[in-house]
Amino acid sequence: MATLYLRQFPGKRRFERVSKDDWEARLPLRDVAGWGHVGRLEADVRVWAPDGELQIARKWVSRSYIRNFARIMRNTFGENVQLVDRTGTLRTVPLNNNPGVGAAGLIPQVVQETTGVGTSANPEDSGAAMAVGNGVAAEVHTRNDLVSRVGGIYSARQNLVTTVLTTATVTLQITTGITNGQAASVNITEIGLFLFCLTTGIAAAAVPFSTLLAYDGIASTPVASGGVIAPRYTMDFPI
Amino acid sequence: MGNKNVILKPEKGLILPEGIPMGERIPEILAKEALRNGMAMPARVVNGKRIPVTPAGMGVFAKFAVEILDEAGKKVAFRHPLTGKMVRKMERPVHSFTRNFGFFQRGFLTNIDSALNLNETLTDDAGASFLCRLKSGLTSGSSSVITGLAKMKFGNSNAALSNTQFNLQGTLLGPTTEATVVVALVVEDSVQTIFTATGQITNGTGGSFTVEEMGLFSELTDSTGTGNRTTMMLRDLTGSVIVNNGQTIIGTYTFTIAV
Repeated sequence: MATLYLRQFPGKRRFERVSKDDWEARLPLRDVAGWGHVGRLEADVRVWAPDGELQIARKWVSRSYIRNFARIMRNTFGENVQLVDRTGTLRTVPLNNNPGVGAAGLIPQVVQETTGVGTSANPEDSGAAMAVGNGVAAEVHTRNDLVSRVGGIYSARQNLVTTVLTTATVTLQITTGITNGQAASVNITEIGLFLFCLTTGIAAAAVPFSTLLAYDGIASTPVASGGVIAPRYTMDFPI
Repeated sequence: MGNKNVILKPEKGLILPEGIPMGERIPEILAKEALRNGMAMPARVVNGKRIPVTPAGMGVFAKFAVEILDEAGKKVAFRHPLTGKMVRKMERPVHSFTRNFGFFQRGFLTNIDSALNLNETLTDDAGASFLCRLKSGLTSGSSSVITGLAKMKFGNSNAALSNTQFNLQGTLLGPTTEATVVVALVVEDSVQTIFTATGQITNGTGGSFTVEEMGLFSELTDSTGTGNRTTMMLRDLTGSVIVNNGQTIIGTYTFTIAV
């Protein structure tokens, strides 16, 4: 069966069936209402059958960087603001205000994680993580977690970041493959991007917390038992 | 700041579109069309503040504004470099994240192998590479964090933007060439975050100065934990804005991130 390539273009409600080339093509940048588009965010999911065949590839313009992404930017430019972990708890990270030598810093971490548990044996296994779920809700800028992470298919595994650097843009892609380990097919309806961090003054072996950076509800996408879904965020920082 | 009447204030007022074509090389979707096709959200009022039409979703959007104060701290009109009209505030869309910002984000997001101490190499405003230790093989202690406040600079070069530039390209407006930046949150709610970063510099050079560029810089700690590295994250071309001796130029970046 041929792979179904679906793409939703900016300003369009429906997904269109497109060729593989059109699915992979980059969208031109557009300023909107006098604002420059400086941080483009696209999302996609690809689903493979248990036999490895790519079944569905669905791409859209992401609706939502979450407030935590904005808070990191605010810290970057000098404000001191806490992040919010996925339970809704405010967390202090020393992105700003003088940590310097001797203070534990922002140490993003990612681990093989089971639902509701976060442990770390190695602080260098760090960075971003993806999760999928089957909850249904509108995108909300203040969201802290997925609505319903799917047991057995929820994951925060090692992800891959690649950089495409030209004189005009830096592009990052964050993705991971998540296998449906359940006996039945699961309909995925939401994806999220997390960052793993430590708070101030906590030793490296401490349990990190995860904070949601981006979230998207997606059209119900079935993943067969033993199948793999790979959510992906593509970030551009163009000039 | 030599003039006591000049007080750095966070720009809590939103930068409203002036409704004029800017001639940018990136096409613009006007507010009316963006509202019609769902790419923007309507103007609204939050906590008594009017939020104008802003882009919806798609990532990060930004614009910059320039204002000029006289020696008494009063806003004065200046010639808009694109329209030629006298204005008290000029605003234009931002198109300017440098490579440093992308790499900085990558530093957060990358998973690194435990055998490697893989941290991001950024470039400071002197053109020197440094290891920005956003993560490291810690036992405890050492960190990779920002110290101090951000900086804003104004210069006189109109050299084209490139994401491999790490400082403004011309002579800097001075004599104090790095303005302290104040970040102000305009709104953070279930719909969006809007915040501003504002800096100002008084022209004390003794003559007029033509600003052509402005940039926003973070202060980052390098791998030693002791070095403060001024690291350019954005550079924008303002067009020719004349700042007379004794006058103060105020630059404001406004960022919006919305669902």
